[in-house]
Amino acid sequence: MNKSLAVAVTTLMSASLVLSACGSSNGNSNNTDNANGNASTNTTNDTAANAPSNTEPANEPVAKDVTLSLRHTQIKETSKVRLKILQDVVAKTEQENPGLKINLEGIDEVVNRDQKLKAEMAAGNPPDMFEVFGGADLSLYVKAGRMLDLTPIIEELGIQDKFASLDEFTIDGNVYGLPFGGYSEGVFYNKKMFADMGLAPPKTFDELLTLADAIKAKGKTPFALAAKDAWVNGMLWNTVMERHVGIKGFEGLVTGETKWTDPDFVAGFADYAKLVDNDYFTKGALGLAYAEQGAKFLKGDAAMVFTGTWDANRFTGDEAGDLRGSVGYFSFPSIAGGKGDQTSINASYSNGFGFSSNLTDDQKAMVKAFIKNFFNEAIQKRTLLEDKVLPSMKLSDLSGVDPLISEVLQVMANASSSWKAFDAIVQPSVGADVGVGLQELIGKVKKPDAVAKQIQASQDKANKQ
Amino acid sequence: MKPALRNPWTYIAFVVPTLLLYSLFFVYPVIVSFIYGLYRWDGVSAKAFIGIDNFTRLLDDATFLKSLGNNIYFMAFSLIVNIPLVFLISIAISKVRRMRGFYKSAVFIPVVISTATVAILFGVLYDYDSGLFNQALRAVGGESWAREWLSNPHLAMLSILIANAWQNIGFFIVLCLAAILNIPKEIGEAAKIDGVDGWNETRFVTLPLVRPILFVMLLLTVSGTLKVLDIVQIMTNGGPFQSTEVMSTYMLKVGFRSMELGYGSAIGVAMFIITMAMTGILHRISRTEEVHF
Repeated sequence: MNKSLAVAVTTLMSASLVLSACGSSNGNSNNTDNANGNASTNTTNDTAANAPSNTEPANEPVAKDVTLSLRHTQIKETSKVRLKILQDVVAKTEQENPGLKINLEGIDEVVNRDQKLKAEMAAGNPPDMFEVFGGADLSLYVKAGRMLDLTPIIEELGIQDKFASLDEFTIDGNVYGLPFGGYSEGVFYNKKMFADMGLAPPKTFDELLTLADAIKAKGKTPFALAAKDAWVNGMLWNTVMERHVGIKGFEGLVTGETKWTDPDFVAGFADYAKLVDNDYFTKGALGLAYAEQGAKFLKGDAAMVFTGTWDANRFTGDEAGDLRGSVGYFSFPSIAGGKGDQTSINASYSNGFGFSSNLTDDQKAMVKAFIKNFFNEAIQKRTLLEDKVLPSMKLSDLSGVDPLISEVLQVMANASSSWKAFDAIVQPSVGADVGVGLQELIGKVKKPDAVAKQIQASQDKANKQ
Repeated sequence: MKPALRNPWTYIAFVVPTLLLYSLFFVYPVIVSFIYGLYRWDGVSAKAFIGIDNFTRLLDDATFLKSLGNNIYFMAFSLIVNIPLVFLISIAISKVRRMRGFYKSAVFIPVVISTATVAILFGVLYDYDSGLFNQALRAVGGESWAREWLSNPHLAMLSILIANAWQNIGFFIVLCLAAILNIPKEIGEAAKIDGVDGWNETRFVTLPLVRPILFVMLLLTVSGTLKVLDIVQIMTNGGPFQSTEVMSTYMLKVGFRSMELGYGSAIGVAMFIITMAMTGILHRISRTEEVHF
């Protein structure tokens, strides 16, 4: 073989290898519609979206081609319903706006939140529309200038006052995201078991202890718990602690006004430890993943489970079996002598949609169309009925709602105030150390005051930075 | 030799693509992590240069030291328990005459299953109420024998190690078995003529001759256990209360959960250095003990 020919061929082969490797990464960042396969329309779509200009052929004046990417996390079996609603809204928006193409991309929630979206935000190339959490995540992205200010859009649509709360998405008076649902945290209980044992939902912490002892005496676990993931333990503890110190107490931690080692904080840890030491929780909880606690509750092993209302869908679904229709919900009881608001509830509207700040004007118009179709009473009602997610917008018509859901809405309406979870207040590193401390309490390896001291040390370090 | 093979450009053309990919996916990340390690950075907003603070912080970070300790425990267990076990099973399989192929595939099956699946499977086996282990223990010794495998900090690491051993020894057995079967028959026959019994044959003939493979296993074990992530992440997520935290799970938590990407990068760099030092030392040792036949 000719020498130079051989060299040329190998160079070509190796070059194509390198290029093909690069090609896939290009595809990911810009045009996700490569995968669709209908090449002819796609190319026009792309040029129109990337450079919306007057170079378009003059014979097609009506439909302007706009492409938007939409990142969602509804990929699990349990979120099928929610995905369907989203797909319907997308289809409707595309139908109403010829030339619009919305590409849905579903990935795992944790991967999106902790890795993918964060990396894209750092690099400045987030998807056009995406699911985002309000609070700490959002403020980070707003600070970096990556989020589209939605204030003018929702004012134009006249929906700015329709939301239950936009607090978590509002920064310096501007709205950067819209929640598609909310949740509250409280105690789900097995009504059948309560009736069989002659028990009623407790009003005070002492009543709760008596109740739990009675359940234990009958050979059942009072509270189902899966403690492998720290956030799960944080829920019940968070409410116990709020009863003791109040939400102002949590807010003071960051400024140094209050300390984890203050007597009322230690009392909060001690009351939580009391629940552990009395063996009210599932045995071996530290090795169980979150889904297990719902399973133990539905199987009838445990009488109660403290969790968020996002599980209401599961508790009213097929998995509930015989328990279907006999699951109730009550707010955590009050604790005598505590500084907190004793009838308050942890509720939040933090899970929502955000939009990229590098959209073109055409894309912004389409975002507006999407918002109009997604954030309205009809879709919110449908979400409530089918997905059992608490509506983020105020609804006038509540007919046909599942009994458990109306109980949940009732409890929320009766709450004297609502507050956001501790990990949205303290620094992430402190939140992580609270998780460790609670596991140490559950594992009975540390005393409440030792745990408090250790978390305060972490708080001091975080406050200094 | 063909003229094309004498042209240095031919070689460059073959090597460059690999080098490019290697630098893009290995050299560049290592350098960049080291640089990130010098900053306080949450991953999105502006970086603040803090010199080697992140690295000095590592030295008195109790959790990091604990996770390093767990990595070493992991490594020690694999070296002391797994490798002798591998050698024993390999010898045993090499001695059987019938159905050797069956045994070979049987031990290799766990290797084919993905680690995530193995981790979840063992999670089910370790379940306090309904897990196989506890059911067996209860059947033998009653309720008091049941153990909280994954939620007891003293047992959790051991539970992971057992699952890990179950999955990994198959691969090593196949390696070791190949080495044993490769030993020329004449050596074994000569030993037999000299009146050597089974134990002495294993001790003085087989063991020295498979030493190169043992070193390969040693190297793979050391580097594998220092960077172990998946099985720990899925089985315990470092818990309960960080008693099974290893360096890589801690790095992930610090970098992405606590949003301290700078410090997380520093942990990554530390892992890189520790692994490199360990494998470097092993390499040295292995080179001085070459065996030929």
